Amino acid sequence: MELITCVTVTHERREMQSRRRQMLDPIACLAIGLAFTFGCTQEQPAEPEPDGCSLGSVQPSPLRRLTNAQYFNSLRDLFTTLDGQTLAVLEPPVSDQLISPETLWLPDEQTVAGYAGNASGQVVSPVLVERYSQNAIDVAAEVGERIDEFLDCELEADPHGCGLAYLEHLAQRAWRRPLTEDERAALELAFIDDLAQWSALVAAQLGVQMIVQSPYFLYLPELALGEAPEQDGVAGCSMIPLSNYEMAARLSYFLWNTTPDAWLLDQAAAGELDTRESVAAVAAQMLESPHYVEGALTFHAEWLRLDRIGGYRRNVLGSEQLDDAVQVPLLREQARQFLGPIVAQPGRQFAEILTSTQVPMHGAIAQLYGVEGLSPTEDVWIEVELPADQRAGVLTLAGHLSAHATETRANPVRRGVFVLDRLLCAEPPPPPLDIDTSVVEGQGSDGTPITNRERYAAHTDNDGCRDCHAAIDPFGFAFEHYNAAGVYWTQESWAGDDPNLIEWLEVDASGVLDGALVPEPLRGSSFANAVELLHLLADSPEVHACYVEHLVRYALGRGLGSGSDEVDQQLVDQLAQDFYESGGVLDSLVLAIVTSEPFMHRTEVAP
Amino acid sequence: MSLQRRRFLTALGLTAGSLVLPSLARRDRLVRASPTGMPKRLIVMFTAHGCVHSAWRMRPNAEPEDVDFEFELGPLGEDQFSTVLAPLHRHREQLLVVDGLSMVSAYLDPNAAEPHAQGHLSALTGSGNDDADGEPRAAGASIDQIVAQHIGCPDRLASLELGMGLTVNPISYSGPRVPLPVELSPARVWGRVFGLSQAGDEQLAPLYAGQASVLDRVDQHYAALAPALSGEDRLKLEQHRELVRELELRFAGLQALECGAVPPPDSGLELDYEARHQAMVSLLSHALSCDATRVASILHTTMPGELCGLPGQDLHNDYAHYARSDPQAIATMITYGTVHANHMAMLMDALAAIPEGDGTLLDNTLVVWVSELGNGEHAFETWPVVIGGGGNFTNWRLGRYLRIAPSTPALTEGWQTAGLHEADWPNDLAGTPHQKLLVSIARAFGVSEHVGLSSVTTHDGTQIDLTGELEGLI
Repeated sequence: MELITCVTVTHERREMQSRRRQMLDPIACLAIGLAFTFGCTQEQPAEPEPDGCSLGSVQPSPLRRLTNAQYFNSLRDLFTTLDGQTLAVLEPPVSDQLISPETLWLPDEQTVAGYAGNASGQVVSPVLVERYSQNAIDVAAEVGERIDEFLDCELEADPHGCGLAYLEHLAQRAWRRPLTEDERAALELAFIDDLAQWSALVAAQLGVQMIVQSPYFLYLPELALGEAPEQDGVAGCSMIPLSNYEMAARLSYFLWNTTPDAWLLDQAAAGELDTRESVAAVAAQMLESPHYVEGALTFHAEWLRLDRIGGYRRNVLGSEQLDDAVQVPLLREQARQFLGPIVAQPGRQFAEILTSTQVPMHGAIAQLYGVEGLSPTEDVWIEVELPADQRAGVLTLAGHLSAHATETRANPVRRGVFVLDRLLCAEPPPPPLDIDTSVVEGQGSDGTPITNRERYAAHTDNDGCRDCHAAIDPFGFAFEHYNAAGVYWTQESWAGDDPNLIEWLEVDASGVLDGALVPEPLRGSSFANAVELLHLLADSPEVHACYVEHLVRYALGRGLGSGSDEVDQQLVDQLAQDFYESGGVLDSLVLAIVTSEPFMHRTEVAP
Repeated sequence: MSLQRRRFLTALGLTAGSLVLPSLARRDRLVRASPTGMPKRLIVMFTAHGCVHSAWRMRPNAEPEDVDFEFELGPLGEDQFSTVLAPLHRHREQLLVVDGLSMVSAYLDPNAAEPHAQGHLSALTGSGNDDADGEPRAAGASIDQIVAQHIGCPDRLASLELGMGLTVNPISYSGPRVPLPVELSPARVWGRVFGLSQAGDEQLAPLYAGQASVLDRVDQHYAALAPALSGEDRLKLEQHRELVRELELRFAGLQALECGAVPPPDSGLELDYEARHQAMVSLLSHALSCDATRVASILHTTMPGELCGLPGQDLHNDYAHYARSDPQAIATMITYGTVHANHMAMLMDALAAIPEGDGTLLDNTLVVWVSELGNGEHAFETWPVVIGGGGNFTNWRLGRYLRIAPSTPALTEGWQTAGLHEADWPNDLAGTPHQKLLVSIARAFGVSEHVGLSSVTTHDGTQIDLTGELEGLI
């Protein structure tokens, strides 16, 4: 009986795996030593030291819960029918605004620096637990309605052979590992209990409800549950290699943002995820999967704060307006479509994110870019080449620009802070609380027009502000050619008391990088506008290094240890150097991260 | 453990398939009730940008700023109310306006976040910032949650966190660094409160009936997994487990809810602001009246410009930030306050329209309107507080305006000069620490612990005591 493609790990296979792991172990250790990072040295001492597998030790990996997206993606993949259909309750809502109580939902997540997967920010609330419960019921309800599409056996005629077997397969898929004997017995006992009270269908449905509310599904515990006892940790070694199944889960949620599929669990069952070489080989195949676009986009959307593109309108004097129902969602979609091929296709380079002018365009937003000939009502995306003297990469798309603006004006502070935080990993501290942060009025003291740049420059021209704003403002002012709607302009609009009397003022977007927050090598660099600045940043080793830091944090779901003696910092430094020197090839970096020591190991659990 | 629990549930009639209301929980409910036998409730209404104090305060006899005074609101005509508070005039006998508090500890927090985040995390918790990997978080529980944990029924929703705009900064914390998510959609709120009792699909009945034993099995997974983990991880799972166990009780209780037919709102976020607020208020008053919950917060973020007659305008950046300096901005932020005063008045209307005991639901519901800040220019001074209702159990004398003159030692040079309080406030003193209000609220609900920080140090080393109740309420 073939229910769904599931992994069955037989007893013998597990023993083989265990033997194989023991045999491979010294090789694995050597392989790590050969790595470009740190770790076991090639010259192993004759007598391995207690901590023989590492020079330092990895930071503890806090227990991670599935992010909302990972949770929904996992449910989607776990409950695919025999002919590949997904559940209707998992269909995405029609729009951001029309939230229907009929589809599954979870409360908004608390993110850390924009990242939902950072374990230190993940908290549980009553409503979250309620929703896990209600979602489980709704999934079970639809599975029940369509049970013939999930099973090719007779449930009522053979409850155990059909229903219980389905639940065992499902639990293995959902929990991403083989079941322990105790778990198998508990599953059976519960099924028998339910059969005494309900039909076989209901018993199966209640089993589904339980499996997807279990902490083994909702969390990513790394305790080698259900697997042969680990033999390969060196006694007293604080760094423990992840089991094959745990590696499968880490890889899957990092690269695909969803649960491991049957193939990946097969790789784990076959012991293919316990050496750098084999992990690299499996990961390379994973990058070719269509799931990888989604996984890579998840990181880039969080890194670039695409979540901020939404829920606002823009109303620029004498220029375009943005409405929150149609255009702003399209701007977010545009950013995703722009990034998709760059971040997921093999061999693409980091610099393209910041400089490419190949942009997907939709008629309803084309006017913002001065692109003509597209129907505003036709729902079609076409690829256009934007003028290279006006636009460069994702930060010059109207989504990013309008998200970092007020309703009416460009906000150079938010735009500048964004560059420092996301591209240079140098987020400025919040303004001191005893400082007046309001921006000066839109006209000079004698009533003459002043530009947006002049307004903002004046409000930080004092001792308390200058330290940070010396760094923030040049980055922010560089984007003054783009108004709050993201429209490129060389003259900005200004009006006094009568909004119908518009004056047009020359925009100055030039600048020189300065301030202690700016990495030393970049200080003193000058540029005429954002396009020049972005090309400068796209070629900067510091910007490459910051990108690596963001990606490593994302991959590990935690903050990084800092200081030069830290394993994390050494990893980031080494990866960044290789990344920059090899031309910023994005998929090579991803493979280097998944084969690094922090990604392949955990720390011992102190009892 | 789990077996024992099973027995306990069986004793309560709470095992699979049974929807009997647990009598124990009902008794407990009465214990935590007001003297009239009705449950006590708390609603916190939370708004952005403080107030334009000159248009919020009342000085009927041109009282000076440096003396304490109070007066009855009853005899005042609507035109004698302040501009901002005028919409609340019809509820004046049920109001207690408190003028003279400030968030001193938020300002002096050595780990302060940016002012909006700092204000949101400090206002209801009285705590400082204890960030999670750089993300601002309150170091303690918020007053609404402290009260909810004390008076909530185990088989009902402890609290509802309602929101009126995209939430950037949470205000409610169930514990240190544990912010609660905010719900913006009335349809989803309906689902949480009334969905279980009004689910009619017979085919699904077994799935709901079986959920109690499902949760019991899930609980066993948590019981097995948590001890295998250490430190924070174990704590996290134990918290999750506790919530699963609470859900077991709540699930049965909400299924048995008798609220009459409350129609589901036919929409979510596409409603305009006022319609959505009305829907939220209606759901909330229903939920309180049938004891589905006893505590709620309504978080208003910056409202859209059209509510102040400025469609398409950015009230936060272009108006609130000039709320002390620019005449047009001041006028707009006065309107802004008026619109919110009207929101509070509508909330009180809804509560007052539901009879309960000898009075109305409003008599058994303490409504507290506070803000993230003192004013739109990021001050923590002139923190506006309007209290409404709750007369049956608070012992607070309603129908009054209470002015407490600033008496807290000067904080810094900056506090005096950098736009942190109104120009005509005494320059060398700050308002009464806002923890005292939080403590008074706690006492009104029978909570004896302190709320938030107990002291804070000024830049010159002076200790400011933050303990004790706010004097003058009773």
